[in-house]
Amino acid sequence: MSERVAVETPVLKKNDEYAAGNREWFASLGIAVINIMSAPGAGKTTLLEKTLPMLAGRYSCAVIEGDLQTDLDAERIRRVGVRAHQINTTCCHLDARMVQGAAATFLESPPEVLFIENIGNLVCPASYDLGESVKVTLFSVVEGADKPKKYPKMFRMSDCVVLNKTDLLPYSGVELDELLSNVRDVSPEAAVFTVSARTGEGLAEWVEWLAARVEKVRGR
Amino acid sequence: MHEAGIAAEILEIARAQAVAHGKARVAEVTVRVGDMSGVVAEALEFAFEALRDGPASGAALVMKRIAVLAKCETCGTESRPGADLVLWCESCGRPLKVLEGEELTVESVVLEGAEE
Repeated sequence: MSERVAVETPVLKKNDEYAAGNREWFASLGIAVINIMSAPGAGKTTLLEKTLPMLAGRYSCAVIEGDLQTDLDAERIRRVGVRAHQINTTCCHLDARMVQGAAATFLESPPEVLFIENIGNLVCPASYDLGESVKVTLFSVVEGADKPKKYPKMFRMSDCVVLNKTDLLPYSGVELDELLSNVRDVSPEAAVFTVSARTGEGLAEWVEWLAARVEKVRGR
Repeated sequence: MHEAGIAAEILEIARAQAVAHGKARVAEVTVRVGDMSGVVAEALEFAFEALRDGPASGAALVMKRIAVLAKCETCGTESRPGADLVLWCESCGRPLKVLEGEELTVESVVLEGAEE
């Protein structure tokens, strides 16, 4: 005899429970956690290499790096004088449990700001709450103006969208206005910045926004 | 793609239901999948079939696609944004709140056979 049973359980409940635990833990330690998500090659590590020195002196920072292979990114972060922990996973995203383990490696002296550089992927990381305070989508303008409409979830759930590689706009055939309008359509309330992490253009505005969010999270 | 991880979670939730209700098998799992949940139906079906085992080895996956439903919190207008996903209110120009279409939820399971 068969029987239908109502379940009504979110599929990612287990991850969400870990994320809630992380959030409480980070709050108790006064750590602002910034989850940076993007497709591979959008410039996450370069953005961090430029952002971290601009925050030096204001906050102690640390970085969790997620990649399928190598610790190249963690090495790049250490070269700018910031602690980094590399996660290598065959998953296409970081989940809250991996982040918990990685964050624990910094606990001897907890940072004030913890950046998480997620696995390069414009789809999957958006589904996994990590217990972060701020979600950032980084997008390189050369990926095309239509992508926010094609991959709306990550843009939609982000507090901030940073459009990178504006120095390549003249060679890309991408209209910045069209891209900005598509970002606005799917993510009406996100803060949006246009930057070139390579040349430094626009980075001051992004860093000021970030610092204001960090202050808010840390309750100052 | 993360559909393999999603399928594994669905199967674990279903198997836990069989154990909790003292049933031998999971015959069917019904999942609500929002159009903005970021899940590809074909990839989820494939992963589900590949990963089925134990009491869920014969389980069928039923997916209910949920279209995006949004509401303007300023003027109360509800709308179903089309494929272009403009999440702004047409009447008053304010951002819309998404009510449905982001969910990924195990709705129910069909269990059968007494526990052996």
